[in-house]
Amino acid sequence: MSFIPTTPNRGLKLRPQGQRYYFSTTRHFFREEDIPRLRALVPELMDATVASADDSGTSSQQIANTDIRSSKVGFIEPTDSSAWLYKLIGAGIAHHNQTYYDYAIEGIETLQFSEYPANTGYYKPHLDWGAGTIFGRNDICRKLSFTIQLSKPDSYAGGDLKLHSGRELDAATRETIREFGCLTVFPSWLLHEVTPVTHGTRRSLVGWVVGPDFL
Amino acid sequence: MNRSQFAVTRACFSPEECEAIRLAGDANLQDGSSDYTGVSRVSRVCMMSPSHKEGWLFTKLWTILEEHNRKFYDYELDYIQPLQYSVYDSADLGHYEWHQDWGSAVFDPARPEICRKLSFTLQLSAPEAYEGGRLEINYGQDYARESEFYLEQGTLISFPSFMLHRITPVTGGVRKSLVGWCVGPDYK
Repeated sequence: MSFIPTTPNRGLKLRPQGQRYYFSTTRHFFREEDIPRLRALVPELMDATVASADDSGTSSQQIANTDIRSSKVGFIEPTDSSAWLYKLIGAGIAHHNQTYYDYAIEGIETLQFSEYPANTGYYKPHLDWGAGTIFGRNDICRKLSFTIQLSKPDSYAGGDLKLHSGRELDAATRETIREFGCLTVFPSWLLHEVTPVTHGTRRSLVGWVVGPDFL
Repeated sequence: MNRSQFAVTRACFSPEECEAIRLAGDANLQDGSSDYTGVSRVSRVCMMSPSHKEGWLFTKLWTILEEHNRKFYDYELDYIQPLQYSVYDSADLGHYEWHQDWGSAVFDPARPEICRKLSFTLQLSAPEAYEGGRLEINYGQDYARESEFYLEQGTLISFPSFMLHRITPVTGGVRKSLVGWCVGPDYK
């Protein structure tokens, strides 16, 4: 297994010097008419897992842990038939990274389709950044995380992606993040959660951009 | 793989050293302090610049923090900003709500890429001197439990400035601490 490389794009200095972003969004990033060919790529869903460190703390394994996370997920492997999706997301990530973050990045991990059903779906506050290896390498880590909303906001209740930066997001921004097709990108060290879904089903596509450890 | 969410050196400052810093800090407070009385933050603070009198303090902090950085973080760091002596008093339920130290502030107009990267706290009060007033670093599940391990007087705690953290309300006595930030070019 390996990851799909992203465009090297550091140093373009598009963001004003000293301006720093906790998250960024692109509305209408994913089109409704592309839902069928996306769903065709999704394998049978299984229970989501979390990393659990072993006793020595040097390695971790994936286990189901409903204290933290309860949802169904399916991984979309990079193949010829999913190339269009990786290309679309690669372009979006390259844009967000050069505009807002300017991180050294290498590639995108396998995309994850997520389903949070009513009464059982949630993901408590957590970081995506942390110890552990990615594709057997310990010199890279998750640097940017992203979510693409695939459910219409009125088709489910609860299930908000909450970004905990210590600053309250205003109502308009919270609404934007919930919009169908919206791409939300944030540094993987940002504490975040998906609040419990109380009605309907929330679907999303999530992923991680990896690169050398933060310097 | 240096991705620690925090690092601790227990009791690396002696009670006498903590007392000396408290005396200097309390004297500085008399000369002028910033009083935070908002909803998110209630505390009295004053800056401690590196004068020759406190030179030993910066040298000692930098020595320990450099070791933390080498073992646990590997960040490009330039220098320590002026230190902040902080007093959280139970009389007004001193506290500081969840926040990050990393952000858009420009400290040096000639070098706008400089930002806070490694934050630290030195516990100047003995744990018996106050109740509440826990420094909590939030990385998700079980974070609160960890705060019990670094209460000891003279203990230095460092953490990446992007980590969400808070001081819970002081419900008895007074908690004194020294906080500071190592700055460098933004994370990349």
